[in-house]
Amino acid sequence: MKATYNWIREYVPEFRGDVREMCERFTMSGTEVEYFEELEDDFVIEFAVTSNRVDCLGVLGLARELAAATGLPFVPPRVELDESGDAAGAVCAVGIEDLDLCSRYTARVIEGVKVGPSPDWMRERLEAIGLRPVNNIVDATNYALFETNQPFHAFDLDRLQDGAIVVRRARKGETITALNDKDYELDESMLAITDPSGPVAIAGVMGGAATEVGDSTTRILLETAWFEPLSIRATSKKLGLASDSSFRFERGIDWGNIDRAAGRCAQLIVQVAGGRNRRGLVAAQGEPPVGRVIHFRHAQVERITGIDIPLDRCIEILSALDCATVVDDPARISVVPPSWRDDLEREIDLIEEVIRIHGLEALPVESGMRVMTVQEGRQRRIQGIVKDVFVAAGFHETLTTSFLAEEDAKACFFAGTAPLTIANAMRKDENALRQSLLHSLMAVRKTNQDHGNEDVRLVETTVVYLAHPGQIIPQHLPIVGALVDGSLREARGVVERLLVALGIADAEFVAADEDGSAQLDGEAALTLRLSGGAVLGHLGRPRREVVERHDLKSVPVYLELRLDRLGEAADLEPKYRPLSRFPAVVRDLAVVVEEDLPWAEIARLVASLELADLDSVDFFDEYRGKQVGAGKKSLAFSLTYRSRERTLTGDEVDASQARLVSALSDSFGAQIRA
Amino acid sequence: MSSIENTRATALSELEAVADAQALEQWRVRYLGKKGPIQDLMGQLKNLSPAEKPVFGQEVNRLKQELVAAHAARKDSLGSAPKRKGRAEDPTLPGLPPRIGTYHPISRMMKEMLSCMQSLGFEVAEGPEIEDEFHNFNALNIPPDHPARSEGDNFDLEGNRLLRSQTSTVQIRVMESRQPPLRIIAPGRVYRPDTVDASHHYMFHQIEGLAVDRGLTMKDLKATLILFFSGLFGEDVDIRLRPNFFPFTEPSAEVDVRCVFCKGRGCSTCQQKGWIEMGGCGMVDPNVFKAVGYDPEVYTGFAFGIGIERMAMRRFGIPDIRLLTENDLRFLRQFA
Repeated sequence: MKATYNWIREYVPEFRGDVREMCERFTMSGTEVEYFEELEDDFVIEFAVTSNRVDCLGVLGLARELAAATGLPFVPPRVELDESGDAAGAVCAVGIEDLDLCSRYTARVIEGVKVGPSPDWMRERLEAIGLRPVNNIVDATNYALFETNQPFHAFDLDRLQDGAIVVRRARKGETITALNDKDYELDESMLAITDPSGPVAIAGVMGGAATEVGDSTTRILLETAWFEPLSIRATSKKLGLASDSSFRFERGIDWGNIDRAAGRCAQLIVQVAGGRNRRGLVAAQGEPPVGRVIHFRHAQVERITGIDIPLDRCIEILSALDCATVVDDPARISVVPPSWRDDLEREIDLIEEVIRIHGLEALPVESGMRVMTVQEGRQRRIQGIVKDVFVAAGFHETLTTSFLAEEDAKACFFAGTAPLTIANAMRKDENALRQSLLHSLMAVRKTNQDHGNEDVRLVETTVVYLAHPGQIIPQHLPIVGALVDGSLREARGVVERLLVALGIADAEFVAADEDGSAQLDGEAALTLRLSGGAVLGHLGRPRREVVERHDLKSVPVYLELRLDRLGEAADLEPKYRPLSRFPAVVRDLAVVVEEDLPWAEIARLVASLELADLDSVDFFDEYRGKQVGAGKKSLAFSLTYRSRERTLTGDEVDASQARLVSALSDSFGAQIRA
Repeated sequence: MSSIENTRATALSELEAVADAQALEQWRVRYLGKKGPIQDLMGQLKNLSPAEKPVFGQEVNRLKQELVAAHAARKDSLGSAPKRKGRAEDPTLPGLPPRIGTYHPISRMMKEMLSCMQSLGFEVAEGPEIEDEFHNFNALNIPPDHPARSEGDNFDLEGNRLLRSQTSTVQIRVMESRQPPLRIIAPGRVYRPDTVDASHHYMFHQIEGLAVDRGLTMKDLKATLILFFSGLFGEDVDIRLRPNFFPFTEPSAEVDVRCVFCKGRGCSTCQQKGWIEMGGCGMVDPNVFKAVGYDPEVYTGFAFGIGIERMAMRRFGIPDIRLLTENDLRFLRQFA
């Protein structure tokens, strides 16, 4: 909403501050000034009027606010109209068929106008607030609209059949050519202004071209009315047609202001276009809105704001806002808000008015809030540890959006369902909610490929959305997804380190289950599960279609884990285990085995032997080559023996090693490599 | 005699200063080697009288033994330095970077904001991003005909569900399940169908604070906000509340922080206003309390909501919101 400094000051003549002070007053009392701009001899000010303050969409409303905020008198323009001539009712008639959509309709008639350009002062003000001057009649109605916040419409009375207006719902199939020269088809949900020939205006939205004021117009029928907000909004939306009038009607204008505003507009028309006002208003109406009484308990002001604003001051503020107050009981006064303040319904609304005008600056910085302690929730702790471990391992945390193309959103590592789709998606490739981070991180990998970034490590924690039948709120599954340019071992190493950080000792990698192999490629894919069977996540290289879908030149490793299950399994309080004071004996071993023997088999065999005082078994190398022969590989690992009670002898360890070597030979035909 | 004493004093003090094996060896060569001062002293014997010779000789021998012992002791105390392999290192080469990743700037900002609020006794709470109309609108005092509910202002899902347009929904969920006193801070993603440009995105983050108790007032709200922002920007932070309108709070206000770049004089960061808009706040509307079954005559409360993206963009000087979701490594690596 734009207005000018001089225009506002016209109605608060005692305001002596400059434009900056005016803006500051508005901003600090709740009508935010977005900016102001200097004109030749005025300033235009752009206001961000809040949605509850329809009354401030007019200059008079803004001036009333300034007056209340400064305590200065508000002086609206005087309406002086010659009412001595013939009655308007002799030349026109109005009727309302649908009172639910129009509760008051009035017409004034001005005769003998001369259409032409409006005077400079009017043109300048209209241009300052962004309107294009048209002719003196249109300009006067626009000027009056922005002054009074009441929309008007001027018909050429001679082009209205019989001067007989009926306000009614349009009939299906009725059409109208509006002032913008476009044709609109109306229906029964829309309110129309009609004469015996049919619709002459789309009520509250736009007038019709057929009854438009033109150069030859001499007699004006000035419409001033109240239309039901929801109906105007629906019509405007349905027709894709909005105007300064519909903008105000759909927010609800002041019923109590109609007649005064009509007089003011007629006065302006006579002032700029000459002619003479016919006596009286021709009006039809339904039930007028009833005013309300709000009980205002003074003690509540301090209970809500924390400061004691004396009752006298409260009454002063409310009166400045044109609320009528009756002090029958000082503890509980009665307040009747003015007709233009439909937003004031409850005591709390009045408390807001009091503190708003009194000034929020008055609040001291002091507080007696009770002391409360907080604990970090377990799930957040888990999420924090997971992020820390990945970042410490060189991963960069990403932020990707929750939306994917529906096809990609089907991917899920944890018993997915059909993805939830967005009814009003803005883009086709972002029309569904994801069930995995796979495609999001693959897309990020592609972005980085395009930017020439190599050796990429990405991690993200998020929730994904699984819509199970019968649930209103779908499952929000917390997960971590990570992508590594590198080997499976590197990715697996990070997961193993994470398990240590979370104190999860009984998790194992097994061949990928159905969910894992649905997204990951072939035999190298793994599923991580607890010994009890619960699946924690999956790790492997994405399937070829996924890699091709994202146009990647190399295949990264992807892993995804459930944070909820990690949280349930985690033991976040490490316990000390005593250290042995005795030295360790370390023996390295390299064995040549069949190419396809997995390391896990050897590890399992070593464990099954239960070698005395064996502390750890550490794989360190795998080798293929001429020296070991075709179809074979060499696996090297070290065994650490250590006792808690004594120093081990070489002979004891040698005996264990001998058992191991013969078991390896028996089970796998392994040969010791010198 | 004095030359013996001088030699002893100089040698021992130099030995004291020896810091490594190499310097120790140099010292040994200098004092105990074939051309050292001991040999010089021995050479002086021939110029002495027969009576003086044995005395002087004994003194020199004693000095020599003393220096040998001191050398041995120093060698022990230095320890046997492990041998370095290969060529000498070039200390002017740039350091080898350890492989450490980075946290996303939104994560960093969020963590900082949450920790400020946690230190004030606010507990982190989270709620679903997919919501029903009750939690996103009705309970927040947004009636069915409110413009915020019109199509195009929210992402709609089937079954009268939608992606939440504000984290205020978490207020409702927490109040439904708990009784006052409570103090929560709810971080999370929110969604609005805005066209993506340099300063808008359809998905962004907010944190929402809520306190409900007997006797809470706007003074407590203001004090909490000051403590929060001074935690983020330093103790000399200046804030102002200016009246505004939100359906779920009343009285409502916008909270501004005096621009830290120009100290309020007006600059490009604050668009010449001297103040930077941080978010909305206010006292919980009685209708919200009624929706969750709290008695507004017994309890009062305050709430505030602050956008994370704008805050992070200002803090880190990020000019375009799209950089945050593009995830270019050259960008992410800057927040180490």
